Amino acid sequence: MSRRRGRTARSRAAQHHRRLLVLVGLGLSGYALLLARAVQLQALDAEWLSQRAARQHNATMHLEPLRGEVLDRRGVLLASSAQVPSVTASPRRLENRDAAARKLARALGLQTRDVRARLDPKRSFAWIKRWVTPEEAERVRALGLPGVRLVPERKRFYPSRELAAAYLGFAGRDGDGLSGVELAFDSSLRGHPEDVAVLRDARGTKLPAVTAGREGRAGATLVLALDARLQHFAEAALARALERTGARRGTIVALDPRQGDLLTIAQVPGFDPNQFWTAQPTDYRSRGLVDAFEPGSTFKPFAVAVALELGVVSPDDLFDCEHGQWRVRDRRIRDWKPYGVLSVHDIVRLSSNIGMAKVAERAGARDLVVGLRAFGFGERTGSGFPGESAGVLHDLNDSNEVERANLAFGQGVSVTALQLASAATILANKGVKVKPRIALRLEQNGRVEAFAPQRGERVVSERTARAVLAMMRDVVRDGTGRGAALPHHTVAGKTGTAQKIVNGRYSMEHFVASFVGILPADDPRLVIVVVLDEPRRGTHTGGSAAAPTFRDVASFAVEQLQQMRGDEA
Amino acid sequence: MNARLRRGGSWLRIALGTALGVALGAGSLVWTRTEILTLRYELADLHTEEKQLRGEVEKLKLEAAALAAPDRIESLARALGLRYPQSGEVIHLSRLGHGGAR
Repeated sequence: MSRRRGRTARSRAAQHHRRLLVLVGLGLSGYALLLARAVQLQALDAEWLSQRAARQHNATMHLEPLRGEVLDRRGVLLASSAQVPSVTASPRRLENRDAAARKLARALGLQTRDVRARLDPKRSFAWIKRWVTPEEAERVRALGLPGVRLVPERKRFYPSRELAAAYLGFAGRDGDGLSGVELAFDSSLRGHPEDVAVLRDARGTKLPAVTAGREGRAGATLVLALDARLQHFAEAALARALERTGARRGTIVALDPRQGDLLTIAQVPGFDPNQFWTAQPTDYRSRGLVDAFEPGSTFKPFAVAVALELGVVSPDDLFDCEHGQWRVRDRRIRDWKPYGVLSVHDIVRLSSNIGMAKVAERAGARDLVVGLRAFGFGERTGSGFPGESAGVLHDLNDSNEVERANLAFGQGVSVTALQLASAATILANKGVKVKPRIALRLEQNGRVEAFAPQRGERVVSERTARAVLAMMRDVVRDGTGRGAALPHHTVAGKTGTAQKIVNGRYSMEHFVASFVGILPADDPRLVIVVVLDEPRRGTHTGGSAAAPTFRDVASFAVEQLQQMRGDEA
Repeated sequence: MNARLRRGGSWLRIALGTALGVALGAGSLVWTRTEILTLRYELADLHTEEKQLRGEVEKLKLEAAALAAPDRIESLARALGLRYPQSGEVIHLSRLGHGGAR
């Protein structure tokens, strides 16, 4: 009995053992299969599978860069970018295109036929309206049209609207700088787009990698030398001048003679760069840098400086001014008022053309041109501004007597307002050239790239510069530029009234009135050039039109300078 | 027989231990993968939020700049009857010997 029970127990244990072995065997076989599959997946098919997985999971996200901001020298924001919605459509997905066109046109203030034309059924994508207002976006959203989407786009904004608009220029719909400073510094402002690897989930949602930034590599912040306050005041003063004189347009350029900083470059009329597509190319040309004009008598101080530097005249040398009329070959030169014998000093003070022609005769045409080129006439200032004009200064020889005489009083030569201001900084700087500086620095991720002032070569001696400044001071004290005088500050300046060429002849009806001024004359901190195009007769001279505008701007500017000095102290 | 059973028991323990180890390893791999994915979703949400906030900051900066635009300030000031000081009407305290007038 007990043997039988023992056999049964052994048999059961053996049966359990067999079952267990079978189970373990099955389990191990399963694992072996898993292992084999793992080897197949991880080793044999690894490359093909990983490529396939990569195609499914990995994606590239294209990140557009954020265009850098533009600031004035005090940090005032002049240009920045922000996201605004644009309306797009997939015309193929629209069920009733006519109805959709009507609704979209009403919501966006467009013509129905224009919208219908854009909804071409052959196309899978169409822009309906770019850069819409928040209200328009809300109206489109409320329509709930299938196939119509609002997509975010970047738009460049100019919060001060017309302020320095032509100078700043603008960036186009695709974020590229198209004119002005926006174009000049486009490569620094635009930044760099980046393609970042991201993961894609089963629904196709892109999940950023940890290192993915929110934008591409953002553009640098550009800090201009421009002073927005002075710019605003100059534009306001120009608007008043246009109203007072009836001039068609005006330009003011202000430079800091020590650093060469372009503090102001104003022009009126202006335009709103926020809606650049409504402006004409003539509106957004920065006239102070691009437009060249005959300077007339504002050119005289430079011609005299060349003659003084050559040693062919001294300030006290006397010249017979022929009582207002003098013939050079077949050309009759006139003064605006008859003068007898005048010193070189008084020739500048009273703005005698005949006196200047005689000074130029002594200097000689060739040397006169060489000296004037040293002042920067006939070549770009090197500001780096796109489209900057070099003006015109022809080479002459001593047989060109008429041209030589004309050149001495600013005819037959053309200059930009910036060139004129830049040349005046040489006189203000005791004879040393300083290159105009548009920008102070670029800032990017804490890195600063500063643009140092660029002092150039000596053009005239300190003695010559002082002598010419003294003449210009007397122009304002009791000469043709009295309208530019300031009650508490000394001003050195020169007026200019140039006849415009109309139908190939110098007109007696169309003038360019200009004034170049340096202040304070005894310690120059500012050079201002005012140019008024076609002021009406009666207020058409540099003395009556441009000099008071200079005074208007200068009176504000000196207070700014005092403040800047106070800030520096 | 007992020896065979004991031998069988140790194989079983090894097999079960291996299976448990592999299962734990696989489980932790899945858990970490899931955790990474969850964090990526959170990160994506945070990136979106950051982008929206940055956009908001850009708009506010622009709005502030537009409000402080010189022509707007001037027109408001003129409406209040203010005007620009004439030359000589501004007196700097530093020039009167009260330096540091800021």
